[in-house]
Amino acid sequence: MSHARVVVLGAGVAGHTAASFLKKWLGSAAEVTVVSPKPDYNWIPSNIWVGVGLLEPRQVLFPLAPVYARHGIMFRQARALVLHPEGEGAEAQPFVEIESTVPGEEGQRTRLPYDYLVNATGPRLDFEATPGLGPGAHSHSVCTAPHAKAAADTFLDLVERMRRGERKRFVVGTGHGTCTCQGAAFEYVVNLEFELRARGVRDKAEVVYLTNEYEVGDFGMDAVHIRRGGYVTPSKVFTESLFAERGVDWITRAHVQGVEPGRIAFETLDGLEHDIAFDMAMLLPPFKWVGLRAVDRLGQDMTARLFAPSGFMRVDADYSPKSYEAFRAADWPRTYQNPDFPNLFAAGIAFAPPHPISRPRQSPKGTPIAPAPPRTGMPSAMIGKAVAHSIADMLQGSPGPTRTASMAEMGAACVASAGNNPFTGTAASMTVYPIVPDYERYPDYGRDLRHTFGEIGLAGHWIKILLHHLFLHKARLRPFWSLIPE
Amino acid sequence: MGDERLHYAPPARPQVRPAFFATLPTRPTRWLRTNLLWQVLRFAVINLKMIRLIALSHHQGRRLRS
Repeated sequence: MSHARVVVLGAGVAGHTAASFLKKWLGSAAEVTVVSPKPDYNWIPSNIWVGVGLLEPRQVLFPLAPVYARHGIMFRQARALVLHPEGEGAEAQPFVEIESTVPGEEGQRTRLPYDYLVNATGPRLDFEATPGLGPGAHSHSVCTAPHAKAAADTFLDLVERMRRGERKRFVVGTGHGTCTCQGAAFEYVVNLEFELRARGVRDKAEVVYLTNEYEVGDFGMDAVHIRRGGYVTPSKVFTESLFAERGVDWITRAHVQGVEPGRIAFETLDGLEHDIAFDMAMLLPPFKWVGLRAVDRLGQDMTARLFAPSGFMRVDADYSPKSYEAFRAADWPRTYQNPDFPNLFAAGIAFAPPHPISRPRQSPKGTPIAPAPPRTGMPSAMIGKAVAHSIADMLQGSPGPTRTASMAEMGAACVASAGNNPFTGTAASMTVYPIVPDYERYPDYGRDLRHTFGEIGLAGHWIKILLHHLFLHKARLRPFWSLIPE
Repeated sequence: MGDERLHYAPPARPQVRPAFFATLPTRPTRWLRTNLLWQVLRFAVINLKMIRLIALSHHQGRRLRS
């Protein structure tokens, strides 16, 4: 095997996992380079605790450069701009054009040649999709550690005011009709409510959950059914129960149209327009492609060939348009290889899903109000590892990808914190199998109910704490990191 | 934002809150959620269930060619 160059765009869960395993399996036989615009790794699931002031950003972040230096992985702090999968002119060597984000070197462009490329850029947080949305405007987010820290500052300030007798309203949820990651909003709202109680000001607060889900508990997965207490029960029942128990009100089927200081305007699926006043709002943004383009060897734009209209990369999925009733588990990609360029792969949020998982819906005005498909940590890591395995095998002579990681063939284990305390805290522990429902194998609910379960309790909180430390240990590539499952 | 919008206000009566129609846990259920002995047992059970799911998912992510 010749000395190969593998470039990984992105250092989130998918990219970091892919790069780490590539280096572990290929060793000195390959030069693995990670390109990420940020210098740090962020363990995003714990951002919700930063957002209520329980953790500092440094506890969920660590610098990537020293970790990669220790393990022989090259690191470029830069953003990827243009893919040249055919090379340029007579030179057939593919390369990617990157732009430095190192302070003092911003804007400096470099060409990075590759033999294999993994696109794991993740999403761009599209706050611009909703006027007034986001930390730069009138609402908060917990998508990054600095965003979560800003949310915590506002939250703690309001707690102080409530201690002085003021009443406050907190609105938490999704900031657009097409958002995903409802699980993060769910975790944040129940943690916020828990902290209000812990800080003795719950009676001064009104907490409202505002979501684009058709019913709470949809989570972009078209809900989950669990066998419990003699019934098969949808996740809506458990989620509503959690909210009702905590005095959290909820508004579903909502598309946020705009956020002004202290006021959110939204449309609901029935076409009615509403507004709600708030003192603090944490609204997640929709996700958008990072703006990566592609050009052919003549310099002509070929972005539409490599990327779906959403901007995410086309892989081995069935992208033919079809109705919800015709959605099939087999539509979902298995190897994440680009159909036109065998040396291009996409992992994590960067791959284009063939269609949503939840039923697409729109209001009488034509506004889409339905969650986009989630691609959380566990599937992203498993996809990253499968892609790394395939590339390692291809470099060793295999004619094509050797590993699969279809979201319609894998499960997900999720632990959603509902309060951070070693004795009184709780978390909802859930497993779902498969993530994408397969109605051909499981005609009733699309999922195997033997492997789909959920319960809330203190044990879940302990597991959440355990996962926080285990996955940070793994991400830091400390001893035995590769033994920790994705 | 125009006045034609419906302004959200917290429901004045519990019967019109969405929570009125939700299932609520009984006191023993709530007690078990933070009972240390019971939760140690659940910790083991949930971990086993998750390990089984992870093993199943890794098995499904199978090798296409050798």
